[in-house]
Amino acid sequence: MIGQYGRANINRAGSMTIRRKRYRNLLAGEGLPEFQKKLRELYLKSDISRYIAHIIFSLILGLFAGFASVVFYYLLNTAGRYLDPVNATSKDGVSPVIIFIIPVIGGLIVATMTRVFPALAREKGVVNVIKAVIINNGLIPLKVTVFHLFAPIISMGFGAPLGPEGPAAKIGSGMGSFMSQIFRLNQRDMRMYTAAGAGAAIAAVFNAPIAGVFFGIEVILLNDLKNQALSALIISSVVADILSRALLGNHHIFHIPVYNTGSVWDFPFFLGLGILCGVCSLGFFAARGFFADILDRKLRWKNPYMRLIPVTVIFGLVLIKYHHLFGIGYNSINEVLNGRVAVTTLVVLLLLRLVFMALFLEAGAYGGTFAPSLVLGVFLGYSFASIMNYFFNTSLDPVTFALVGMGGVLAGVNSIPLTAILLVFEVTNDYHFILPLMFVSIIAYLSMIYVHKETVYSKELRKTGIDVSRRGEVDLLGKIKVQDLKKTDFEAISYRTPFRDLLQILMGSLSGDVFVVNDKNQLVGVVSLKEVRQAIVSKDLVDLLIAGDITVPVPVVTEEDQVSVAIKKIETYDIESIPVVKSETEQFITGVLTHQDILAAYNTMLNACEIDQFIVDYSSRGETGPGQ
Amino acid sequence: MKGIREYTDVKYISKLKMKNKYKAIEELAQVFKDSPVCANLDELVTALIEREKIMSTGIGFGIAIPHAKIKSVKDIAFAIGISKKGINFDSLDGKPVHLIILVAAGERQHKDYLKLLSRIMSYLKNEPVRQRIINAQNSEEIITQFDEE
Repeated sequence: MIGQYGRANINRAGSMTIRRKRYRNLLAGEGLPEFQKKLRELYLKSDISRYIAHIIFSLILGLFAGFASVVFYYLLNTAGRYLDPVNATSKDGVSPVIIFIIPVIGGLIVATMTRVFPALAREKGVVNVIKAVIINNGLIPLKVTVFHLFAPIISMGFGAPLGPEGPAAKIGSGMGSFMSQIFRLNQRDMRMYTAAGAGAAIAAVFNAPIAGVFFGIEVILLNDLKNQALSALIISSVVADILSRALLGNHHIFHIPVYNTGSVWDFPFFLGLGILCGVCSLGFFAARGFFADILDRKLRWKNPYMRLIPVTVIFGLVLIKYHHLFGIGYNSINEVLNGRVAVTTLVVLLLLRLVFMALFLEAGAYGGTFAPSLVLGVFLGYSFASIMNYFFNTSLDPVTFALVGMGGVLAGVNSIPLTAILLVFEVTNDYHFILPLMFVSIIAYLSMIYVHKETVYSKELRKTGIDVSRRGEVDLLGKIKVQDLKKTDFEAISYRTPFRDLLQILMGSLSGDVFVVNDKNQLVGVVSLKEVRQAIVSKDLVDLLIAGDITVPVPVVTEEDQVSVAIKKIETYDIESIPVVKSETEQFITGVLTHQDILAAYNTMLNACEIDQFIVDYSSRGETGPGQ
Repeated sequence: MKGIREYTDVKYISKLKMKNKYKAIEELAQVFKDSPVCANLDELVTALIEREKIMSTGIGFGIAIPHAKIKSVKDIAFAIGISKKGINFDSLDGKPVHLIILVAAGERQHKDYLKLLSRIMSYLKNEPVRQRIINAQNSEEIITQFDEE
């Protein structure tokens, strides 16, 4: 007997079978007019479906990231409107106690959040977005995104002198990852949309779609212009910015007074400003390093309250006198540009903001360094031009120098010359100062790179175990040890061997290299076929020489070395193979590593490895990894 | 590569008195004393003698070409030693050596070193040239022979 539920099941199964049949018919094109059939065949044969899906997902990503960024921006602005003493004093004046207490309360809330959700808190910053794209296939759990939506709002809303772009990038990429999870996209697509989401969010937060795209390229994609995420990045940035402008209005953050771009004779001063911006960036890194050293190594404070509260207390006290230090600092930029801040105050503010920016970041506040860099740049550029005018009787326009300084410090602090130029261009909506802006930005960037030799992101990533130092090249060979790839069949002869005998061995050698050892069986060097061509051509030398005469020193690797070390030495010395020795001191040969074998292994690994391509093996480097 | 004349000097020519091959090498190496060629003459002599002990550099035709490649040699150079009486060098043909060409090279001068040895060998294979060098009256006359290479 079939019960009520059994019948329902049969009916359901029946209707499913009918639906499946209809679907199959649709796929086969049955019942369709001829024109539609042909169109359907064309669609299925070509890969246009993939392109259409890609565009649709990019549009959806733009909406997701744009909306999240708008929410973030709105909440952040609302917090600033109520808590920023600059806004409040204009109404009815604020008691110093309140000015002091606001950042302390913010610090308490943020420290509590960090304490309660330590795993989520660890995921802060742009570096973690890059890490997620590189090693996690772009997977960012939604709870991480939500945490990093609110934590920075509280941090910056309550006064931390940081910027919204780090959290925005986190939110945008989190949205990309979330969308990929909802639509169950494959790992490659998730990685792509996670990267693209970061750029889209920057586009929405700053109303700067081009800068958003370049942020994605320079920072998240590590300058990989050929990356397939590029089209998704552009589409989603455009959509996110359109949405942002539609919901928040086509507003301009900065109110720029009329200014004079100056003449070609101002360029030496722009050069000076570029260098100063570089120095300012280096000063910021030095300050971060100094505070990190104090907090992590000298005081060893791990407790988020211990780290953050003292900083907010000091900040609160300083804020009573210098309220321009509060929050992101766009208000301060407008005040400076419109000449409402004295130059002496500006210099003090510049130093204080730089110090507190570094302090807050190291103490555990949430926020980025783009907007604070813009503020520092304005302070620096404006004061530089004013001081020059005062002492050298020049007629430099401080506003021009302030605008240009924004790009300089932004490029230096964040190692993003292109994004810096485009971001300043887009947020000011002004093209007139583009030449000095480009000039100063690149000089500041080069000054920073000259000292640090790498970008801030590659440096930060390396600290966490990811090596992108070779301009994003895959350091696969750093993952395998020499002992895994070495061959034990190699030719070694005594240095006493007459050249006539050596020649026979050399001719029979596959690699064209024969290693030469001394009486204690220790490596002396190598005789390679190409090096002794001269001796072979001149038959007279055959009876004069022994192996020792034509041996050349050869670099060695030990079994514990990484293969990347071996390939570097092979390329530097232009040799075909490199001997593997027991230890650098003993020099007993245990094998050989050939260029050909390394290339073969590299190709195999390249095919196999997609996810963990940038991972650095700390144990093999003898370094200490993060958190160790 | 420069002509082989460029690698020697009239000051690097010596008439040898010693009859023992190791002593003769040591005697000839002294021409580099106070010259810019070698910073450590003892090291050079030791390297030359050790090399000689492994296999004779007496290649026959009355010629020996002791040579060494060491760190303390700055610029590759050769010295010319003449022995009228001849020195037993355990040469390939068993004949005494009348002309010793002592080549000193720096550790990283591998290619020039081989080229120089090769050119010296091919030049001295010429019997009349060899005889003119051995029978020359003075150092200038010997150097002139190398000018003609």
